[in-house]
Amino acid sequence: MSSEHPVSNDPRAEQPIHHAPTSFISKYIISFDHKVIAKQFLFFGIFWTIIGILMSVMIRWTQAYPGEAFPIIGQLIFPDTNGVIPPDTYTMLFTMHGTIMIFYSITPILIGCFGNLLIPLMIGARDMLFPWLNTLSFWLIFLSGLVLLYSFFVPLGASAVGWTSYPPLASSPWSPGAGHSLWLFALFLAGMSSIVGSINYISTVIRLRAPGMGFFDLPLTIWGLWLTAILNALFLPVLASGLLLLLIDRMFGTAFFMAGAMAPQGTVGDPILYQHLFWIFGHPEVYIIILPAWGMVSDFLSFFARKPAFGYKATAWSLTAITILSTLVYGHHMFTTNMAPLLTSAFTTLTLLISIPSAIFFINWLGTLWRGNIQINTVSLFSIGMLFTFGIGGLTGLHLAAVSTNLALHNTYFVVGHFHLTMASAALLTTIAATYFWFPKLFGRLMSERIGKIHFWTTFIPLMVIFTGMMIMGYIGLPRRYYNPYEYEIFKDTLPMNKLLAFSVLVAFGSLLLFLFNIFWSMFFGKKASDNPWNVGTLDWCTSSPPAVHNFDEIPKVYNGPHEYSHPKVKDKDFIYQNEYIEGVSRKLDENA
Amino acid sequence: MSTVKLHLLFRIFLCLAGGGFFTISSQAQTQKQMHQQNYGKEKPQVHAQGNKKVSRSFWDIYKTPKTIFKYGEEIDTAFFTITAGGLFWYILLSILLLYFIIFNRYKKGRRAFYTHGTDKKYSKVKTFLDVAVFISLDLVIWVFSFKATGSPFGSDFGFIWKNPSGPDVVRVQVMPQQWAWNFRYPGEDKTFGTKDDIYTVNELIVPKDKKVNLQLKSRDVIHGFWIPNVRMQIDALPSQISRMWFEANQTGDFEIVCAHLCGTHHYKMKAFLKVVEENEYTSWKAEMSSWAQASYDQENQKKYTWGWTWQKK
Repeated sequence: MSSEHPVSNDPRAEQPIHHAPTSFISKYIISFDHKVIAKQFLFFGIFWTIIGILMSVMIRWTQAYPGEAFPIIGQLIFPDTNGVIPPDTYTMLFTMHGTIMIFYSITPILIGCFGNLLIPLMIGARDMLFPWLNTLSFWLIFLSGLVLLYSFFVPLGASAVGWTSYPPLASSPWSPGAGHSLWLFALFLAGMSSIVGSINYISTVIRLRAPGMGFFDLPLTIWGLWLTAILNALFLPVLASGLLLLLIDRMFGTAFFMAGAMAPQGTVGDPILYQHLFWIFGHPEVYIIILPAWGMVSDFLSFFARKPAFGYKATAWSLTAITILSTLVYGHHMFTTNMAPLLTSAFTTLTLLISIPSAIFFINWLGTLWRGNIQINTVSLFSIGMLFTFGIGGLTGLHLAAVSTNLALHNTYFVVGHFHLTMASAALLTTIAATYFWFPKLFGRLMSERIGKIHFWTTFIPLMVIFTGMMIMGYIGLPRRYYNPYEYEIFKDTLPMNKLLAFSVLVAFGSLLLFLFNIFWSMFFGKKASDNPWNVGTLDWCTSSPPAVHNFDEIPKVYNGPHEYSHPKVKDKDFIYQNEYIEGVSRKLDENA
Repeated sequence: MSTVKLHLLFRIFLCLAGGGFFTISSQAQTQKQMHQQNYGKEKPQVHAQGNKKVSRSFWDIYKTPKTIFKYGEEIDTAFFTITAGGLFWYILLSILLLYFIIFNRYKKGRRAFYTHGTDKKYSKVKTFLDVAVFISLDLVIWVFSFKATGSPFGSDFGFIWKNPSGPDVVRVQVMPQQWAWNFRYPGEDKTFGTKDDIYTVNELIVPKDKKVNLQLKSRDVIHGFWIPNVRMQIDALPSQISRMWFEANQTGDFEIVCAHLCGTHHYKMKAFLKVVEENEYTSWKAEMSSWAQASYDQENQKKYTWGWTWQKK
């Protein structure tokens, strides 16, 4: 393929229209088309989401009905205990729930599917800069999923050491068996998949933007996805190194993270080293998950308030500032590890600083809605819901940033509530909004609005109830990862709250099934969509829905920004396409663009 | 497929879902009723105090456990301040959001107010809001957090980590293991590693109003030593000795909780902090110390070796 094209300084000019693939395998299985790869990531993510959420239902059941058999499938899965979930399985459940939701559910859908789908379309390119790397990225995560699935069937079961996998618990003496080693290997592959994908995202945005599309004409979705890719590329190698060292410890008897009685004679290892390596990645990871969501919500609010994004440049700079700051704060996950007081103060200060750019773009969101002409549909409902959940989630991060309160809240349900509000609510609600919004781009049809509204209320309210309830319980000290907290005097009265949480999780699970029904039904029977059903002007809507394999018949020329809504000089419609030249409104194209 | 059929399908789905929920909840009832010896030895207790049921209100249950350390009161103040500040801004943003959704709802023919938000007057408002958020949240939290742990600029910096020393300080070594807490006192001769050392399991007995200095090292994996009533926790690591101190100002029994995942029975690692009057403690210590001396096992001295000594600093 590449030998046919002469090397050129401008890769934008070198985007010939190839023949569309014809065979079934080249169209749907081993495809180099970013839109097909996006769908592959989507279905992969949906499969693992179902497993991950089912696990969370089991976890809440155990907390709400201790000692009782899990209904319907309990007897099938746990015949030895008459359907009751045993403690060691419980540790496996919360470990795998965390792992699956982060690496196999949210990342493949939010970053894998939507990154792949949107980056070429929104910047006006025919495909990613490196289509082969793109395919590799999907098949690596697919392989990783197979390895993880296999780990469930080894004799001692899947990994059960917490998704953070701290040694010494995660070292061989205390976690024998292949389960955790396979977990480490699976995550290593998943990391490779994301690194490879990130290289693609970063370079595509830099090199393949259409003529006239400067960095500050990009939709904020692309800003979010691009910054995420930078964090991914920089910090996944650190995680990979930590995982690899632990794997070598487990398989070859080295002692990187071994200390104390079980460490081999004469070795000097340190489990804390792992914590550093993990959290140097781990903190940017949570920003990796939320950055695309921030970008998308910024765009959705503008699209559906029919108003330009308020303070676009400030938002873009804030996202960048947070990206940089997020690399400096990882120590707040380690306040209880006997850290020097000065260091804890430094991490507290830096963590508190992140709230400044967060406040900036949150105020900008409110500014976008202010005096807008707000359309209420599923996409805008989920976006506004995101604002409510992220409001609480972000503000409770402050309790955890301050070292004094952190020492009282560490490893309690307060932490669990906080990160679920920011990840499982804010990022999840945005992912759902993105699915409704770009469904026409993927499948040429619209999802059902009616079902969507019911889906919204049966997801949003349970999520708020569950995680606010968790934070209330964490406030009095209910520890996380506890099979049965009711043997403790302080926590024995939290059972009614846990029952409420279990009920809410059931409602949310039902809502998930409703969402899946909406997706798969609408794929075949949904209302056929016009090319631009949302009346939005970004480049992805300047072509057909779904687009042809080559995306654009002609590479578009960009004359306007991405948020030109309700322009006073444009009377016939309340939006302007990015590639639409309007005298007196659009800017002229720079000859060098 | 038409919308009518879709509606029908949806109603059927709702019935199935409703029926499903009903089945699940009724199944739970039946299980509980038939529940005789389901999971035998591992059957968890729901109430720690047997069948005595004292009903407490929501506010009673979800108050933090009473704090027995003055540092704990500082933490509670810090928590309250952060919550108050956060709540203020959250209510404000919720009101604004609801206002916009209701009063700026889409009307055909209406135009939104076209602005990119870059005008000077908007920058002024935004800067004012940003500074207000910064001062009311970040600065306040910063000050209150350091008030509790000691300010980096003050002389009492990091006082919670400054382990007290002196003749009046009660020193205890803590060695958690999977899944119990071992405590060691130096005995009447005030030296660790001698025959009169007192060893307890899952019981930390300390006198009221005296500083207790703890040094911790785990025997195997990382455990989290946490006393909710004291509001402090520290990880016990196998690779280094960690430190914690506190001073209890009330007598009573308080629970010690393991706060770091340490394996299957992580949830069962309960220990008790027993704060007693000073004379009670002194007599307990004397009695246990002499008993330890008398019953010292000369032949199996290895079992008294923990492998690490008390650090002077």
